[in-house]
Amino acid sequence: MTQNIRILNLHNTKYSVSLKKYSGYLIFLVIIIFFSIKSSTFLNSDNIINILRQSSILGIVSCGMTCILIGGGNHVIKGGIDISLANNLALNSAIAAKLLSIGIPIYWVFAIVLFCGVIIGLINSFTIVKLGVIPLLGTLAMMYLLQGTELVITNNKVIGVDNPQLAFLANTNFLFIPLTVWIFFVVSIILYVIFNKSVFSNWVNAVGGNDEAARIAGINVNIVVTVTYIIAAITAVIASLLITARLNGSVPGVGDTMLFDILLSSYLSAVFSPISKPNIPGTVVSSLFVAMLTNGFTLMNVSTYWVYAIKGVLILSAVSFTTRQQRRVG
Amino acid sequence: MGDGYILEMVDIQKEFPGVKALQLANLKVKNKEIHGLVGENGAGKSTLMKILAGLYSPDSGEIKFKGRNYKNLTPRIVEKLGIHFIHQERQVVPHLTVAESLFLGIEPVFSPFKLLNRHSMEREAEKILKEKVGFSVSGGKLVGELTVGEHQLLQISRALLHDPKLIIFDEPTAVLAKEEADRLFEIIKELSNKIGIIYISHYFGEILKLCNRVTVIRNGTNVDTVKSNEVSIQNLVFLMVGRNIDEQFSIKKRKKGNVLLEVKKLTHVKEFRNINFKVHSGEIVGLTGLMGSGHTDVGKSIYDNSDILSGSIDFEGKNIQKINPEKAVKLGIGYLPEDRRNLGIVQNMSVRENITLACLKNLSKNGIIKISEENKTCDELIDRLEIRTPGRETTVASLSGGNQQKVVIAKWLSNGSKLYILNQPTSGVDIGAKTEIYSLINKMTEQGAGILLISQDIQEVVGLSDRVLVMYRGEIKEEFEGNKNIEDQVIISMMGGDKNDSKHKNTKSS
Amino acid sequence: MKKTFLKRKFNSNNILTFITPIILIVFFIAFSLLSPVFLQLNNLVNILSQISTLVLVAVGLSFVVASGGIDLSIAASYGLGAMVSILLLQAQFNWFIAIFAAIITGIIIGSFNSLLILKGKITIFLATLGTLFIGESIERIVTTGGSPVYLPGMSPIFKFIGRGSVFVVQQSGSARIDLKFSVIVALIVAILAHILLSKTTFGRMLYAIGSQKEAAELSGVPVKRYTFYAFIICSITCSLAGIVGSSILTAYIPLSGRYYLMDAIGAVFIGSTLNKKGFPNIPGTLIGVLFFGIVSNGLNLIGISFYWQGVARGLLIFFILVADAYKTKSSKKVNKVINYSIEQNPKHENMKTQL
Repeated sequence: MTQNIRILNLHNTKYSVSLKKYSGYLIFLVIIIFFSIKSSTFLNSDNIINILRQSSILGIVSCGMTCILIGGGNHVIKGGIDISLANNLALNSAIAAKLLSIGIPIYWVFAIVLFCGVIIGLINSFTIVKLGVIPLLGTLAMMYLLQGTELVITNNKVIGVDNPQLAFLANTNFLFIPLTVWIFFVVSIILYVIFNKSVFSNWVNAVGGNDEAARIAGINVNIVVTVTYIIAAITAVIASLLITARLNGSVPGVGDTMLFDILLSSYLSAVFSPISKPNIPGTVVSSLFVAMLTNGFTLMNVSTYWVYAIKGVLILSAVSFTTRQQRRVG
Repeated sequence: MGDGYILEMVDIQKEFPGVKALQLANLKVKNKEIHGLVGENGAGKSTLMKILAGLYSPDSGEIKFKGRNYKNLTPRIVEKLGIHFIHQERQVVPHLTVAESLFLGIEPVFSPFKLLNRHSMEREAEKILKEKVGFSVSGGKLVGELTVGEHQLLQISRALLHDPKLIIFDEPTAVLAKEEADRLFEIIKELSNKIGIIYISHYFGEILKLCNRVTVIRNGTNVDTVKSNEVSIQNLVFLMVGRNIDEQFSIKKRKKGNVLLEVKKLTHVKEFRNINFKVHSGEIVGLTGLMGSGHTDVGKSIYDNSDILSGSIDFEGKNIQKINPEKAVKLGIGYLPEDRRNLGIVQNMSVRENITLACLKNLSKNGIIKISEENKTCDELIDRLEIRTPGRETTVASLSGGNQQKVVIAKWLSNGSKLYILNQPTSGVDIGAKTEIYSLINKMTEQGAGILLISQDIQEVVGLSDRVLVMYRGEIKEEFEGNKNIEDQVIISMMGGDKNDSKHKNTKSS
Repeated sequence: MKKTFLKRKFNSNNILTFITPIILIVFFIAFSLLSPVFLQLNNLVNILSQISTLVLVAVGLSFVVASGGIDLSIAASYGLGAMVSILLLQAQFNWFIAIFAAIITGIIIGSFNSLLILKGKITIFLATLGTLFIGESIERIVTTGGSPVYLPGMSPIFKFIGRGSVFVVQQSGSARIDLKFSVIVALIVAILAHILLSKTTFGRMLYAIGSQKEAAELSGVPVKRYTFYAFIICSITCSLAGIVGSSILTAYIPLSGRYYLMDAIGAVFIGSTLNKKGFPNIPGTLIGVLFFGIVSNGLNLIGISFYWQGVARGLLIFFILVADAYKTKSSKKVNKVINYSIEQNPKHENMKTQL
């Protein structure tokens, strides 16, 4: 009798996963078709490269955020998150710009910025792991701190930078594809391997699903969570350098605008997972999705203000549709 | 290893501020034996086990494992020694697959580059589960989709992968169906041919059937260690509680009244179909069956309309369309869920807040709660049900299982409920509290309540109910009049047989 | 007797419970010493006026957090409330219509959030984030780019809400004690909210939902309906905050709601640290808001730049959160021991009477 019920479950599994797993991608496809109909230039190779480029910086740091979501579980208040990530990015961009503008060699700047970013990640993970502060609040406090520090350093002004290596980063193409996109590609592959294919992936998924169970299984939960925060910090640093390169300096307020896009991309990634959990490939797709929406609407000459609204509506509908379709576990 | 003892806990003392948890407690387990451990909640057996697990350290006393003395045990060391716990409260990561869960923490077995080969991992998992515990399942199935019993098999397999020398089972059958429990016993018996087993349970029948020797703990010390073939259940109860528990199931002096609940042709999306029965006031209707028979789902669906495809529910003669908990509460129906901790009580709130949660409207004027009324009601119920709590403001999560259950019952009593749906009311409750809950249920019925008792504890169902409905594969198979002698028949019916089977059995044994 | 009483009152655990008020007092003292102006009555009254808008937003948010959720769209509720009221005033509608319409806007936003969460089954974070996006977009679209709308000659009644004085006392020199009407508005709303949350069945059930939703549902609590109410209350209160805010500035500044978002979240959570069980509560939220207010005001008076204030704010919240988390950790250990003794002792008594 128990036998019967299990077979039923398996049946359900085999049949419906294939369809439901891909409902997110289906919507993605629909949007692509929509835009290609509405604009003749949408599917141009130039435009596609544009979309890729626009999604890269967002994508890199969103993948970092997703790492934290995976390891922290996505309970609305108690789950893992790092609200300070965008400001981590912004602050490091400001630091990089400031240092370059006073003549510090680029490789030193790389090192310093990496150091700063990792320290921030460590402090965040320390407060969460060792001191037991709720991630939402701990990183909120850190966000204020970083915001303030950035303002102090930049005085709320743009810091222009003219550096050949940075320019190289921003402008070079390799096989017609911008270096930025390649970096995004490499980063996402590395993170994919770590979070989906390695032994660590099992640990971090266990920790995110039920940290008590992971602890009982002998996994060092504290270290796993700390690693996710540090990885996220590193992605923020990489993204900060790329954005400094692209903007030729640091621009105040860039962190605040990015935060919500980052949150969006990482939470949205669950839509592209058969079990509705945030994941790296889904984040890549989400970042592309978000960039594609902006791009497509611009081509259609829709005013930017409308874009934001439509983005919001579309994404919400996509999430609602797919969460209803997919099986929910846990 | 002196005298073949694999574990010796000698004269363990443990004191917490204000409380002497263990005083000269002794536990000696032989290798290749199944050793039962019995005791009321709070008697000290969980403290003793926590010391064994390395979570607490004893104030004094010795722990010897395989003859060697160990001080300062930690969970890591304990695991390395080969001591494993199969816990009552299962911590599950629902979105891992069976294979991922089985090998959690010990994955490197499969990867040269620290990469996982999921495919081979899943095949390996399937093989291990089949061999060690006879569990056939796809390695890629999500843990969240397993039944409780299946997950326990997974837990056991995990323990077995670590080459254990001593396994402690903590209340393993509290949530298992009979068939799954039997399978578990087989596994344990086989294991005991090679290693030592400690078996903790409130089910004395099981203990005596399964274990070689039993240690009884009371008031922080071991009262006696007996051979199971030399004692009866009564003896065990006496040793554990220090007194004789009177007949648990008193003579029923109830008066059957009007029809409270009438269920007609109730059909669930998956679990059951065409269910028909009535519950009158002043009567207890028992509903039982194996896991998967649908009996647990009937109770919940009557209350919250979950997954009902067709059929009707009448309460006090009136048809209810699309019932939901809010409506049910207003009508006077109370539901005691199976998962008491997560669904029955609001853990972070006080006893008072829990008890009054369902009847706040009666205690308030214009929406504002009258504290004095609330306190009065709460105190009344704490007294009446003899809920053991330091006060009404105590967080309910800190009460014992039995007292938590009483709080849930109090909640429905304070609402003046007429019909109670009790789903596994005494699971995880020790015998002292169990008896109190039984007498409570009896009193409620005598005062006119109607009760639908859903339980897998056959003694309980048969002992309390006026009528017993047995479900099998989603349908009501048979109805019995509730009296002690029908236990065997109920069991057979649960497994799909009928009266003829039992006759057949009898002739064979004679 | 006395000794143990004192000991119990002042052990390390208790100190941590009161860490927020203690820090508040410390800052009070520090600012009074560092700035001659701080402790003056007129300044203290000023602080109250300065925080009135944040009070409204944070009080509204407290309801949602109490029910176990969060509302990122409060910035949009604020902004749209301000927008609707100012634009209607600009179009020569009277103050009553303006306020009424803003409140309706709040109801719409709250309903939208509920729709997404309850019917659309979208996670609360994403749903309110989406509403925030859409709301801010509307602000941009209507003002074609986010340009402010100045209305110095607005309806005097509307102006009174934020700028009107209820109580003025001229002091020696140029100082005036000026209690603004906005403080009264905030006070009334806060008191109503407190009664609602702590003394009514609605409030009790809301906490049950936030604590353990399924258990609450099975106990007959109308989870969906009350969650809906919580979001509506939050959005309405935030739109009201928008009315007050735009009255104070006699202008509508698009996207200014963002400023309140993080502060409100911080205030609500600081507030919950003041509750034994960690539940969000109105008095606590008020103290949290006061916190931000005093710090901003004090640092301003000392002459510390706005930028450094952000740093200071962050450090403060950090410190409070850490102290609170530490307290929770140590109290958990104490609880475990107490649990044990509950179980043990009653049984002892039982045995005594039997034997």
